Amino acid sequence: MATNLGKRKRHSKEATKNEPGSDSDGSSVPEIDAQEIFRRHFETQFKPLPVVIKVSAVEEDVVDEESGDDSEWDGISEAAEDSVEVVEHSDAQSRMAAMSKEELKAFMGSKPPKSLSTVSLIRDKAGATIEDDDVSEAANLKKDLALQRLLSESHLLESASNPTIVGKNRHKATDLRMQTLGSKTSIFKQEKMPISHRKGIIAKQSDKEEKRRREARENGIILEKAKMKSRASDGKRDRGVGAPAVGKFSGGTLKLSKKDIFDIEGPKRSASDRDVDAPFPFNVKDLLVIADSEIPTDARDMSHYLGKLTPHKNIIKIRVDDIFETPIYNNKRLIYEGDVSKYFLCLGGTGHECGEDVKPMGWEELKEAYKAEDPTIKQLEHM
Amino acid sequence: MATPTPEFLRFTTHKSITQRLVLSTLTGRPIHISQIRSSSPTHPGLAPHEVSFLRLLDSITNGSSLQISYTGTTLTYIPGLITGGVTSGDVVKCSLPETCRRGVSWFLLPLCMLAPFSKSPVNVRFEGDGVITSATETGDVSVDTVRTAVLPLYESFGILGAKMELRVLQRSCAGPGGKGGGGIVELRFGSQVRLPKTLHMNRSPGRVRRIRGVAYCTGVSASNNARMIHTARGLLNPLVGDVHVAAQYDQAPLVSSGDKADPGKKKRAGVGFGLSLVGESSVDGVLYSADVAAPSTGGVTPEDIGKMCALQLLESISEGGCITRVGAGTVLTLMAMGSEDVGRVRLGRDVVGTEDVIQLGRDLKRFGASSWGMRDAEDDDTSDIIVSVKGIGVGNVGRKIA
Repeated sequence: MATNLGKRKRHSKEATKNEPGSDSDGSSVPEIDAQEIFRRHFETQFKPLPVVIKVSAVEEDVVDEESGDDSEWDGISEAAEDSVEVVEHSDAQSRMAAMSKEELKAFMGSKPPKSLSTVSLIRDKAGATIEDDDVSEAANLKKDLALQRLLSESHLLESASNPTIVGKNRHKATDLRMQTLGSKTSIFKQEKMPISHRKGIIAKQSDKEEKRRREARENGIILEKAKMKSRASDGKRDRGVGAPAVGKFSGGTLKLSKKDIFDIEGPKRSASDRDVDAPFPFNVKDLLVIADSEIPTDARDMSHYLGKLTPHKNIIKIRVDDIFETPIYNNKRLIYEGDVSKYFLCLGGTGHECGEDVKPMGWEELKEAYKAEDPTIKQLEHM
Repeated sequence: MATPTPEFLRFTTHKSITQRLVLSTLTGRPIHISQIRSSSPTHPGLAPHEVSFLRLLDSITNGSSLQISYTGTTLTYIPGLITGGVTSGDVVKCSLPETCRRGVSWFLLPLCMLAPFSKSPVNVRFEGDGVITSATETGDVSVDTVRTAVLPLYESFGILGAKMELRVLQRSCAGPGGKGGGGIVELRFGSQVRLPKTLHMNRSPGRVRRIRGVAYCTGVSASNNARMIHTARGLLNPLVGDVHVAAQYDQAPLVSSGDKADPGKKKRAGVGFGLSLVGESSVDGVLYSADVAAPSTGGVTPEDIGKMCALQLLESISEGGCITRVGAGTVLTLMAMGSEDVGRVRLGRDVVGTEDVIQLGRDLKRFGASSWGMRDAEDDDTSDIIVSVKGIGVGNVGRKIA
């Protein structure tokens, strides 16, 4: 009804505007506005404007209906008096505001809803809610964690294509967190690929690095030290905790390769091998027994003996005493003449207690060994 | 009962029959109701829903006796103890016949009044071909309104809301001709008290700060929900910013087709849609509700329903007071049955002036409760009335003995 009133008002107004001739009071001349003058001028020179004619035709109908009522506003029409004017207070709000998940759950559950419940909620990523004014320790910790994560992962948000922590960025954030927790590899590392691809990737990487270093060197820039090649490639693989240290465990059986067995047993030795391969590098005759009085004050000064005792070159003489730090022979010192790196031999002495592994007749054998001019290997072993 | 010849309270007509039966059960006074639709030539006597309610009363009480005359126009009821009626199984099953025209809330509201005074938890499941969960043309509210606007009122009486549950297992609107539905509703009322506290809601009801609601569609296009919500929000949003309405869509329930040749045959019944709105005030416990469902004859647009419901809510708010028409009976009865203490509740003048509330006041007086005191609220310029109700300390008889 309101629209009807408005329409009629406009029509009557335009009617007075467009048809000044039909007005009774004759005061039409000052009502002609500038546009009207232009229109008339145009129509005298050219043909009449079609649009205006159409409008005026419609308006004539309206004016006929209203029987020449030309006042500006004549109040509410009679038709409106016996019908209720309806005013709709509706606005075009198309957005369907849904309840939050927990609110919906609380409201639509079988229990009567709490009348005054939720306040503002901060939602962390797991979907759990943190109440804003909760001052408990747990809530503080939660907020602290959220802040730490924001600080450490905020660089992910800088990317223009995806400025949120969803999608690819979420995986990146997970990767970062995994690595701070001690993950050795990134979750983005591709485990399986054709060997040619991997080779290509590695070659490209090393190529790049090499080029960078070369250019830096040429330009006189000092770079960081080159990273040492990891030792993982030495064939020692990480066996994990509690796994057997040798062999290959599969199907409930520990399989040892020949190499493993060889490594465990060590090189085989037989007595004959020893005679051939490992002779004593020196003769006992080369050992010189000297008295204490002959030892110079500076015991380490071996040069004193050098010219006197050594028939061979490159022989280092060391007082055995100096090595063992205990007098082996009461007044005499043993001088060992030979390659230091090979063997030391105890050649006897009084007060020498027999070893624990001496057999019942061991002592006699030991004495024999000491007395022997040229002890055999067996005797030497006893000593 | 204690007295060998019980003195019957005599009432006439079927009006507020549930209210009288509940008061009789709570106070232990036997009643005699006569002239139940005695002038009706076609349907004299008790209606199907009234018979179902009497059956329900019989099943949740122990020792009650019912006598219905041959024509059904006269009823004698001697109440027993409210036990909750769990002898075997989990729930008491109450089957409503297909001819039932009242919504299930007609049963739920009086049942909830009895439940706090029961000896053991009251678990009742309404099922059968006559359960209408939506609002009805006969003036019953929907189960959503019962759950969201009436059950929270029990909190202020010291009856825990956490132990109440109203599960709507199957929704249904009124079937053809406003009869029958096919819904399933389960009430679990596990909060029993010795004596409910009284209520002091004589302050200003505050201002409505948020509106919640449920739009339900049963067996019709779910887009009706959005249309109802949209229109209701269009009206309410300029007044309150916080308006959220949940949408609930369900299939229509299957009921037996009533075909004699094929008794196993089923048909869909209880098709329709409706909207329930609840306005929460800034004062704790003040709830305004509105409930409109499409009539079973159809022919209304969801926009109309949404608009009518929003306007009904506004009307309910404009009536003022802390309790609306829907909750007034519950609150006043609980106050009267509660501790021997004067409680005050502020009601809108139009709420006090309804037939139900006036009838309740008269009935309470006949059952031995003291009269209400009424005075105008003077702290502001509303025309609200403060009703003072003195409890008679009936409390939970079953708990007193046990």
